[in-house]
Amino acid sequence: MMTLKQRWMSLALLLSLAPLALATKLVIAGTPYVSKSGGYQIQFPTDWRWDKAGANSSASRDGNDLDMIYVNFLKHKNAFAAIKKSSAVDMSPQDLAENVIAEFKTARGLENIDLLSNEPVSLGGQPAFRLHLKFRTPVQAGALTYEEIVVGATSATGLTLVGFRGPAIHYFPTYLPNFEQSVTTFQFSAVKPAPH
Amino acid sequence: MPRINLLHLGLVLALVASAPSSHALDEARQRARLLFEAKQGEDMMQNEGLFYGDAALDAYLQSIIDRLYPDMAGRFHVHAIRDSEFNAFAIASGSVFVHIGLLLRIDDEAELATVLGHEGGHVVGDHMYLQIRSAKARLATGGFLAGGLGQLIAVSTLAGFSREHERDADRMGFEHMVKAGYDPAAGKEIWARVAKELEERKIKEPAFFFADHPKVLERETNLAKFAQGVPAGGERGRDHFLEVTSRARLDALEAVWKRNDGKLLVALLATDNLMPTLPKYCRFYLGEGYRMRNVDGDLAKAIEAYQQTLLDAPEFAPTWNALGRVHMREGEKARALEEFQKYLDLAPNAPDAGYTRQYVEQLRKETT
Amino acid sequence: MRKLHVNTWRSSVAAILLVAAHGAWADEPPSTTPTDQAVPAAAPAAAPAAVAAPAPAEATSAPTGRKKILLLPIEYMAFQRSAGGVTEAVPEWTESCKSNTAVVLQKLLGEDSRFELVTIPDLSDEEKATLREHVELFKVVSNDAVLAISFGGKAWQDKRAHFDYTLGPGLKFLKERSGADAAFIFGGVQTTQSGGSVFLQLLMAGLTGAYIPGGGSFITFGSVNLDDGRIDWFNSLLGQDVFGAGGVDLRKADSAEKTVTKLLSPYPTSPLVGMKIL
Repeated sequence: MMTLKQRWMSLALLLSLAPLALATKLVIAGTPYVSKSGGYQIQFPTDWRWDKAGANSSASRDGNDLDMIYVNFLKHKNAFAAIKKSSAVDMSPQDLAENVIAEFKTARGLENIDLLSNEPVSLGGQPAFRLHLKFRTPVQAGALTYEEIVVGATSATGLTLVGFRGPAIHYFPTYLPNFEQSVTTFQFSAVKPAPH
Repeated sequence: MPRINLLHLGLVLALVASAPSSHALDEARQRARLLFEAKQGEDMMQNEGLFYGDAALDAYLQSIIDRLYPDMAGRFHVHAIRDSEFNAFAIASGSVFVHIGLLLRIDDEAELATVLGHEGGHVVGDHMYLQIRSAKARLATGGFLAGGLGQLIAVSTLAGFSREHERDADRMGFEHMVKAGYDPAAGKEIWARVAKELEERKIKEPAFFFADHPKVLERETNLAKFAQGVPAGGERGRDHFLEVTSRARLDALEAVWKRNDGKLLVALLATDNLMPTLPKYCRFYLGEGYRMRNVDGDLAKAIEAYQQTLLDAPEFAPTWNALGRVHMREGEKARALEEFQKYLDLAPNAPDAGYTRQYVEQLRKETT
Repeated sequence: MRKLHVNTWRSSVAAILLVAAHGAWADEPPSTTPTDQAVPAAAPAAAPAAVAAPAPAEATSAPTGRKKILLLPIEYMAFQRSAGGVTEAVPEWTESCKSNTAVVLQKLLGEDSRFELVTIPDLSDEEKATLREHVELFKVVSNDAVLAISFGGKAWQDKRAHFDYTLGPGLKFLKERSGADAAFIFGGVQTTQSGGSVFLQLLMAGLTGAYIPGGGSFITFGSVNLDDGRIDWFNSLLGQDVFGAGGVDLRKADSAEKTVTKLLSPYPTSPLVGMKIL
């Protein structure tokens, strides 16, 4: 559990790392982001700012703490690092969902996650899970309620999570439709192995 | 690159040795800072929804610490915390926090009194203040490169204490516990149980113990030694403890399940301690523990636990779902279909019912 | 193993500074009315380069008539960073900063003919919780706004021209209850180094040339339209001390007056980030 000063000082750290943390390119309509190492493509909302880090990518309209769409690609081995479990291509969406919830609770230190819904969907044509989570997370010296949608599915090479997170006040409900639209554009593609 | 100049190094080292020291802050101000941080920390925990919020449980915990420290009425304020790990901690303001996960590991009120007596000992012994004073001095005179870790250990009132302070708190807690009429044997029994859990979970040193903290077996030894000098017997208070803590213990167990911590579920439930105190449907969680842990032979044990649960608590819907998933995986489609349908009959609006409906649809096609 | 090589000239200057610093600062905590600390002789090659403030955003519309405003309680925390990097919240400094700021703001806003200060009404527990949540959201919004516009690069510059950050319409009840048009929210954090901390900072700079960040501050100040939640005016200040000097310090009444006046002065224009950074 973070102490008070750690939370306030985390702001200073956040600011010092700012140039590394913010998306840096404008999304152009009709130009999906293609991740060769992650094996997917997705059209982020037009005029949002997007960026990539390895096989992961993200986009935001107002800032990562306000409205962030993310795509995380995790190799199967140790995909759930905090709970020390791996995923597998034949793992059912329900099993995946349960592991993701457990991972979030452990990795983020959030015992107070409310699971609002957990249902089967499809992602890029593959059987997937869709979680709707609500939690209070420390921000600076206080706490704010966030909501998050996580959609996930496996491929031959790993687990892909497509998510959207924002404060429950205004940002999450307002920009959720943008996320839903992006998810419909998601496609899996052949993964290009990383160069040796 | 120029070489180090010994004269300058000597001058610098001499200055370091006489450096203005942070521990020169006067006592009143240091205490004020500790209290301020403690209050802020407590407000934050409450703000984040970490307080468990069961007034009757909090009142029960409070009554125990008030019994242990009758001369300090009003000094302590005890709250249950929504966390499934085994932990309790005190902060400088006299607030004491007990994780609901701790309630899952102890048997009775006497054991709870050992823990609360120990935490009260930290407050009475003024350990937070002493700890920060010595830590600041330590860091100022040479540990300044310790950085964030040093700060965490030194300053956080939510951190562990030094070995000496932990031993003092154990001793003080034990003395107060015995004086209040509790069974002196209670203390060592907790630590024996925790040691077994750590072994089962293959944890060398759990996250809530810092490097300075006496290891679990050492604490068991200490408390056993204290108990040797005192006549055996005394109050255990098991029935009342089980009654007041029943909801919290169930919530803690469910939280462990939702964290997919199979090893911990098995460690907690495969013994004769906890299971008999829980509702019969809780054998389902043992089954889940085996399923999640998934070492050789665990699947069979999981099925056995589920089937026993069905006998004892057939209306507990999740068992049907769990068996359905196992049998579907094992290729027993007709059986799985029947179990899934039973689950949906009992819990049509379960959060994961959507998956079950998909399985039913799929299995119907495959079995016709 | 790498040997420690020290620039002879730098170590001499550092040694001189250390002697001076040792004399200048005993690690006494400040009194309740802190006086200015002695400023060291110029540190070697470490004077901060002032970063030019970015061009101001286009002016928001000037208010017509007096704008009724609620001044929400000041959100501020003051820390001390001691030798060894131990950072503690200091209650009496925090209270000084808050009260100095509140006094200045009451005076400035009260005397400004553009504004009419309105009293915060009594709120129910639910209303207090809603307000609390929106204030926390303001902190996150203002952080992200500063990050985006000041540090985000070209892709974020559109935000400068179209500053559309908002808290949503959830504070409308405050308008209905108080008659206010907007709420002013002032928040921030400052860390002041102790003498011992500056001492060690100088030491490290002298020995290795490495500058270890010490004190600093970050303040945001905004006006939230209570009808729709838009942040219709915003300013912020990000500062870093260099060897214990140069940063913002709201513990002192005169410094608080200077800082708050400076933050408010561009109203109704939002310059978005008047910045001193190293």
